[in-house]
Amino acid sequence: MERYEGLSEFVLTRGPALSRTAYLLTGDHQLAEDLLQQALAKTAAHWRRIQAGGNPEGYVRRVMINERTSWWRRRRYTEVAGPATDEILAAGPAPGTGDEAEAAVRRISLRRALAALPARQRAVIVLRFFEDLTEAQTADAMGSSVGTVKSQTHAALGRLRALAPDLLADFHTEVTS
Amino acid sequence: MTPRLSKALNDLADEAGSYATVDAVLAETGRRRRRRTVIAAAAVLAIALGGGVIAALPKTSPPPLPQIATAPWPIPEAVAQTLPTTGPVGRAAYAYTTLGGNYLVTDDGRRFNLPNSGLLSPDGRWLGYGLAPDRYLVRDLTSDTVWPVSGGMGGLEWSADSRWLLLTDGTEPRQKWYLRLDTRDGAQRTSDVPLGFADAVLPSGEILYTADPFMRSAGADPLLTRYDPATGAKTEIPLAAPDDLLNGGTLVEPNEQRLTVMPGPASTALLGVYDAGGLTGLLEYDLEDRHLMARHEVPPTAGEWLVTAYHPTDGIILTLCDHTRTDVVLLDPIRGQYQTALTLPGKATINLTTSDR
Repeated sequence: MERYEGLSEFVLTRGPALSRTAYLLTGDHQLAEDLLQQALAKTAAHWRRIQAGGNPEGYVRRVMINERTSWWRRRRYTEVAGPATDEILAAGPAPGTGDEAEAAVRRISLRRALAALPARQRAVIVLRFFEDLTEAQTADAMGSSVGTVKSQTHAALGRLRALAPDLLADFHTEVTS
Repeated sequence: MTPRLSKALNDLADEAGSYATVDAVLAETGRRRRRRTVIAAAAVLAIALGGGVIAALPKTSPPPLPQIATAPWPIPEAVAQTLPTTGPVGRAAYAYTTLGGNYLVTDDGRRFNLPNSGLLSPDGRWLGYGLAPDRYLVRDLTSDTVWPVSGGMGGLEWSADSRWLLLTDGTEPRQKWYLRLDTRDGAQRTSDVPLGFADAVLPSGEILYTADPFMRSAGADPLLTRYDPATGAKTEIPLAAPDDLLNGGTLVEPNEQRLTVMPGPASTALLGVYDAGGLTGLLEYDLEDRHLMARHEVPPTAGEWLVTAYHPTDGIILTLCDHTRTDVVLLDPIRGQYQTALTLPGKATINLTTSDR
């Protein structure tokens, strides 16, 4: 087990946060599980070296983004907006409080909008606005340049604005400047 | 900044489960704990949804149909039927997936809904599709024959002769290993190699893959492996990739850890060449003598190019997609001419059968 010393603690402490990121990257529980387990398995294979590098979480995140983009390119897993969601919308209102309803609609809008983004644009949204990473940190996580992050962010926000304008009603342009 | 977007992302992330278990990670073959039951998003949302707010969302309309530019691929019927659970429905011309759903189109233009994206054999006879995470079927569309795949997680690629289907093996503890199905008798054989980072199955039944999962050395010559699941024999195939044919590009997909490898007629195979913007060309090799035969150029058109097949009769099949449409393009490898065969609505994927099916 010496080879994996510290891995258990890492998975236990950072697993929940990485799970949330995986879910946002995929929008699907099973795909998120696949994605995170794949990334952690790859991390485990090189654990000592990665741990010595001091940022295993960043490594896992980067592998997840690469894997997710790869899935999208290979079309192994095709993500759709979800007929189940459409059926619910068509079924009409269900009882609930106004706040709950607003949050639910926001989630539906976001889920649909994210599903329409290319994998790397989706990743940049998750890293910048969920993980709250800087452009430089996002570039590092994605293995790309800051310029690419800026352009991807700009494109992703533009698309989100078209698909879910409410989500960006408070958007300020300095984000991508 | 965008606090509303961040808040929405956080709300959505609250739906996540806990997907990491150390036991699963430590398993050498990528063994994972039993899959977490998928929480039905529909049920969660149905409980949470409130009255009146739903009406604020735009109504969805049926997605537009594919536009056919080239015979012999048929124009599909406007109304999609439910795919019968048993029995023949006839040979298919293509299967496609868009944001609106998953469809199968038969030679006579009937359109069927699929429960998941289907993987159609090049001859249009066999359809592989999943009904549940651990239930995958390979069905003869021209007869009653159905091969259930034990623990199959999903189809990857068909061989060019439609005999073999390469899948991922979902059987504990071998998840993420290759599984090969023989459509002649339904025989399934699991490989003793883990999933590679470029995978295909040849008409010989051999699996073609790249073994190095951390191959990131752009510009390095590719090393493919032919693996025979029946005998365990492995043959390494080093291929030269001269700089002048890479044109400054790389064989490794941008920011990825894999190659694009597409077997073609006879013993040929295509390898994708990429720059930061995506696919720029395809190198064609003869796998028998490892000879580099040609570089096929991919036009620098806006959108994302993806190579999906290499048919003996129709040439190289590519898709060019953006968010509004996906063109299915045939590249004549001899003349270098491009021809759009059909156009799918939105961002889509397709399995196009051969014109001489």
